[in-house]
Amino acid sequence: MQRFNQHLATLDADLGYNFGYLDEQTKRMIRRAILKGIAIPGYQVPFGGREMPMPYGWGTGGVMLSAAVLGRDDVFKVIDQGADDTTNAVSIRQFFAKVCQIDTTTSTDAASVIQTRHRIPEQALKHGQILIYQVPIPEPLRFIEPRETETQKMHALAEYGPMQVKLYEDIVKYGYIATSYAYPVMVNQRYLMDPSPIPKFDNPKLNQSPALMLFGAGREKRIYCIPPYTEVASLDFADHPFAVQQWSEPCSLCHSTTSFLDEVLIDDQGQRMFVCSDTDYCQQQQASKQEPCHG
Amino acid sequence: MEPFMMAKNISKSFVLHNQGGVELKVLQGHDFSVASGECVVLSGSSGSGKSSLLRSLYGNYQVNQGEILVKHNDAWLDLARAEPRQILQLRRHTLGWVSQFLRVIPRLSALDIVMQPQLDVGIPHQQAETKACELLTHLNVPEHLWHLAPATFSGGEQQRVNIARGFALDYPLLLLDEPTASLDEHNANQVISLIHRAKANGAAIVGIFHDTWVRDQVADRIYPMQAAH
Amino acid sequence: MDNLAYVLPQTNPLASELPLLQAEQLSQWFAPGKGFAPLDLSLYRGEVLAIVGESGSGKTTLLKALSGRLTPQQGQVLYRHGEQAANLYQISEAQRRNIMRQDFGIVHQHPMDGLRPRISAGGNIGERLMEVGWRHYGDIRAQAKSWLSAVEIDIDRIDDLPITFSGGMAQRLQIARNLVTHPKVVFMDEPTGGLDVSVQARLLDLIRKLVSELQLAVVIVTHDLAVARLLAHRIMVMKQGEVVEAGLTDRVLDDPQHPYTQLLVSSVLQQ
Repeated sequence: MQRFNQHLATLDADLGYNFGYLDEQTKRMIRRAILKGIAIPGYQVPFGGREMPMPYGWGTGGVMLSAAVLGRDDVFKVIDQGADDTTNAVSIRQFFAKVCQIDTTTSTDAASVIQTRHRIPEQALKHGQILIYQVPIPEPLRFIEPRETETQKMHALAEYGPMQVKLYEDIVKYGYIATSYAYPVMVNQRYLMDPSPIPKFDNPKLNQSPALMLFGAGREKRIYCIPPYTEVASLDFADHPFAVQQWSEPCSLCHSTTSFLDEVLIDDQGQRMFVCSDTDYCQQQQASKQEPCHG
Repeated sequence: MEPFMMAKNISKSFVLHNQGGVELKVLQGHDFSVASGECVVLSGSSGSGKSSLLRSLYGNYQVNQGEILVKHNDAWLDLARAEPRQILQLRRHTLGWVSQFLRVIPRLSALDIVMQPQLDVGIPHQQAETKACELLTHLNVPEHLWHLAPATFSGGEQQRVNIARGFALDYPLLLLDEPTASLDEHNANQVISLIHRAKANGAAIVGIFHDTWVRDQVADRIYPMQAAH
Repeated sequence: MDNLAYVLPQTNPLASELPLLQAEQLSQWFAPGKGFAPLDLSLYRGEVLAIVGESGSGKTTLLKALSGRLTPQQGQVLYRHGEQAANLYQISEAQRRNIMRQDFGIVHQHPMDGLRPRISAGGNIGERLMEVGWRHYGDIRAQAKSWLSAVEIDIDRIDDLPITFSGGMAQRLQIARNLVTHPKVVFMDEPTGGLDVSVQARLLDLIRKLVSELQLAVVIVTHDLAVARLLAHRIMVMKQGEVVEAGLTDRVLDDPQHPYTQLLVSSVLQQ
């Protein structure tokens, strides 16, 4: 209690908010849910969501998780589909800069906590880093079985045949597994999990990652986690193995051939170019390629 | 001679609950037996209970009193008290039934109908088919009909398909319900020869035959019947 | 001659075989007259049991309790697989669902109750295979095709949705979906109920054929005595939740004992 009072005393009186916007009791409740989620990798833990100063669908789940885990020494980075400079990323970064007064960065390497919408950074994550995902729909079985009571039972009993049926239907319709984002994974050989709408390109990065991964669904008030170094396998068929997207050309800016590319229309004539969706990675690649010339 | 089947003091009546509870007595105190290789013909006027007795022996009618003992797997099975599946097993291996009326199963061909009882006891398809073809030929069912469902056959053709089915397995006990009724003399003779063959194979046979000339050819013994009162 | 009965033992040669499914003092009442009174029932491998009676006689409730879908108020249901007997309502839900998925099949009266309408025919058949761990697309498809032909559906329709199928076809698809994992017991609730007479005959014949080929044990609920006569070895007649008569199909239909059975039989139009 004494520590708590000291903590209160250090708050910026002008700010009028507790550190991290949420009150300490709420943060404690969220941290408990996170601990439970880490203990049962891939399991969806319900939690008491709070009203955040942004509408649902704008990353309230991720923001609540960030608010609960950020400390004074953390360096915070926010990406929206890989980019640090979109409205959503900028405003969330500014929000925490304001309510936590902590350092922010656009560098993946420098960040200790990264909140992301729909991407995993290209640069390999490190032990000690936390990646926080914004999740619109946490239940991977929702589109097959709309009854929540039934999907919970299916998770409890690991009855995941119907999910495989969805992939079967993909092959029927398109000749290959056409699901290209929110591609379902099995976590620790036990729970079926929706990795949030990241491209399936990023799925392999989930497996045995040194970083802690936290997933927050604000509207549905669910948290689930992947602890560091956990097996995460993408579902597939023996004769239609899981495969990631590939591009026929490199990034137009940094010439990377190994990153996830966005297609960008550049004029009214339909000209297009492919660029890295991860802006930080792209800039670093460009910089590293220029260095030798300058040197 | 050692009996294969014994009916002891069997009685049967129908109670028509929806017609004022009228009780119709059809069988009263019948004692009856048949041995292997023997053909017993039930005889009596219309309404004397021949058909009811035969149906009781098949387990199709439930007798109210008495025992119907049939030798089955070296033991006596009492048809009057047996479990349904014991009766079914008895019918599959031991107890055959030939009537003049074919209960048509939709879409099943004549050949399949004749083969079915053999397949049910595990006789290989090829062997069952050979036997079925032989019987259908014997009973003059035209070959172009064999692969058709008998729903559209004439009455006589359906009857002969059914007789072929009844003789397809060498049942140790065979019940015949007027198998020759409405057959022409040639076909009736073909049926008689099947009965003789079954007897020679050691089958115990109980039958109802309307035509005296047929009865005289097959019967070893007559069991006379009178209407119950 | 009379002594012969004593020379040969009066034994039951089938006594050694135990029933696959066994209900003991099973009962479920929702309200007076709604449900069914305590009853015992045994079903053996390869045996078809028809439960007949009018609407509201408790047939469907009984079927649900037998098939693991309704915890009864009283009594138990034993299912024997291998050496073991599972008490359906005392084992864990996981075990029960496992039995229902692998060893039971359930054919609903309305095909869409038992199918996924927006999943292709092949996917509907393949689902149970994928549930039990099949992970080879080609193999799953080959199985689906062979079952489509077994239920007389053109294999070209493997990728079509069930909602584009006629009632009879959808019902056959539902049967294929159930049989693909080779269940031991299939529960059918008025499988021909909503179909045209011409379609009914074809379906009945198909069921008859599959039941005998696969040696399935079947409990079929129907109010149609002709269906019972064609398919069932045994009949159980129910009235207002009570079993009024049971026995060999042809015996019950040709020599009905109970007033209600007599009424049922005499109400059928003679053909």
